[in-house]
Amino acid sequence: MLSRLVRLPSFWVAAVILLLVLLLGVFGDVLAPSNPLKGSSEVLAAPSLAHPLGTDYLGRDVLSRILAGSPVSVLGAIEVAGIALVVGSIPGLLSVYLGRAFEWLTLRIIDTLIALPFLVFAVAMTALLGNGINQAMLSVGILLAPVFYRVARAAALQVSSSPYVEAATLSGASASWVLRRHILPKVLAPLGISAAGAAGTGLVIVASLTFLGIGVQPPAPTWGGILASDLGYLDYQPYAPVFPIVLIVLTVLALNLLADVLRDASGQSGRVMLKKRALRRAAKKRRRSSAPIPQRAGELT
Amino acid sequence: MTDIAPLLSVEGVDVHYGRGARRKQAIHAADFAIAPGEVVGLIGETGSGKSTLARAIIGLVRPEAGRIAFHEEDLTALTPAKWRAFRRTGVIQYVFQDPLRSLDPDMTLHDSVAEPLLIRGGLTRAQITEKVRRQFGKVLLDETLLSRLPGQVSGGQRQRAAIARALLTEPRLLILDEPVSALDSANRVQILELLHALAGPDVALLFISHDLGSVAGITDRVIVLYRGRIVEVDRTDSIINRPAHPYTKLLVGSAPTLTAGGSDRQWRDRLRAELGAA
Repeated sequence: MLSRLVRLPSFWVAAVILLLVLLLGVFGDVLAPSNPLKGSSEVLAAPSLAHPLGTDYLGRDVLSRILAGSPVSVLGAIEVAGIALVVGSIPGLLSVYLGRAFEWLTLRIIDTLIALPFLVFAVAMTALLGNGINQAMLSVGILLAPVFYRVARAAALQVSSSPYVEAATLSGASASWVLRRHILPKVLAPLGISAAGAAGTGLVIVASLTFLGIGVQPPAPTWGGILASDLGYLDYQPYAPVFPIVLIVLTVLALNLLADVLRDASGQSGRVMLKKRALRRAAKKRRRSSAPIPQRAGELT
Repeated sequence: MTDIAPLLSVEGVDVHYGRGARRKQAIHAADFAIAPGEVVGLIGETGSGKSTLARAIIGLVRPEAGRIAFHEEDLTALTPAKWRAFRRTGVIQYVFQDPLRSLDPDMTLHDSVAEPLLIRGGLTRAQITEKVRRQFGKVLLDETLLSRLPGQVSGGQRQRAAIARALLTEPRLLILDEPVSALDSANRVQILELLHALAGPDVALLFISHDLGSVAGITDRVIVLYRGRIVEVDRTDSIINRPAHPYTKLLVGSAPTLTAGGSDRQWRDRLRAELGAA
């Protein structure tokens, strides 16, 4: 599938943006030009050489706060997707193989999770487990798990009843063999698509929670927290929310783009699409090579 | 049938589908046996229970009553773990109707064909590849197709690959579930010729089809299934030339020919009425 992915231009757009965001996530703290928590007398200052994105209401450098807030925001989104993937997809796959009791139980739990409102559950979890980013991410991850459960279960159900799985079963294959050889490769693509989508959703939820002061304690910077504080001073700095918003939107956009290219490149539909593209390119090439070549200037005019 | 101990014996097998009010009996007291090396046809119309009976033999459907024995070993008494161990021996193999769906679309023909040996274990990759190559030769497939995906080869080549997979474990009984019904006439003839060549003292074939014409050329005996019941079992030439049951007569009479679309329509209508009354 990777060979098909690299042939899609949108993959490279998503990959470049996500690589930059990941670099911010890993090295954001180090790249911050000044202390993101240290205030100054230059309150709500306009962008300058000393402060390229200006300062906030406490005189803190906005660029430094955005860079320092990147790890929590980006890694939080990845954590959400990871938790949702593990909590949702493993029971989803096993529900096809572990009998009716397990299937019934997991389906009821998933139905219950779907019915729970996001923010209320996250607030309740942080009240129960303490106000920390990991607790908030755990609650969000659990609430996103039904998506993965359903995707994994649907794909596993479809594949498990196919004749090639029956053929493997008739050769004495165990459930784990069938899962590894036949079901996982088919399920990975839809799960990857869901994971990219969930990371985007996770980023928005992390931003929303930190906007509400849940998950990260002030004055620690996050993209959502910076956005929340900027919104209080729109009269003085109407442009200020643009910086965190651009980062959030670009990251979510890149993740959604990645989800789209994963869907396009995976499975039979991906093969057909790339084959059609190759045929179109070949036809274009043929047309170009069969076009008459002008011998002298003005011959074709 | 001869006096040789049967390879497969099916005794009084009943199969039901569904539960409660939707419960329906698909197979009624099926009784037959297959001798080693024998080629038996199982024919009947769509929905008559042919595939259900075959799936009961290989353990994909559990019979509610009766006994299915392979070399005197009672298959209906096997636990799931013992079924797995039995299947790994590869003595009974199954070829599905639709070759496109019976091969994993994301696995090369080599990997699909090699799978039974990979599951069984005990051989190196090189040994398995060598066996797959030899098997490809036996089913008249070019070795260059080994690295192709099922979607990249023709229907006939796919079915040959499926047959190669089934033969790789050197089965004693090969069950073919309508192996040519998804193929065009040219490929159908080629596969039938291949199956005819494969039949021998080492492997018995149970050839399932709704088309008497497909089984007539290669089978020794034919079992006729009608609405889940075996209505006639006889030598193939007797079935074709002297059918006894009205349904068998209808099947024989309905076989299309190049000169006409079957025999007399009024005669067929009379047989249908006779069957309806029964």
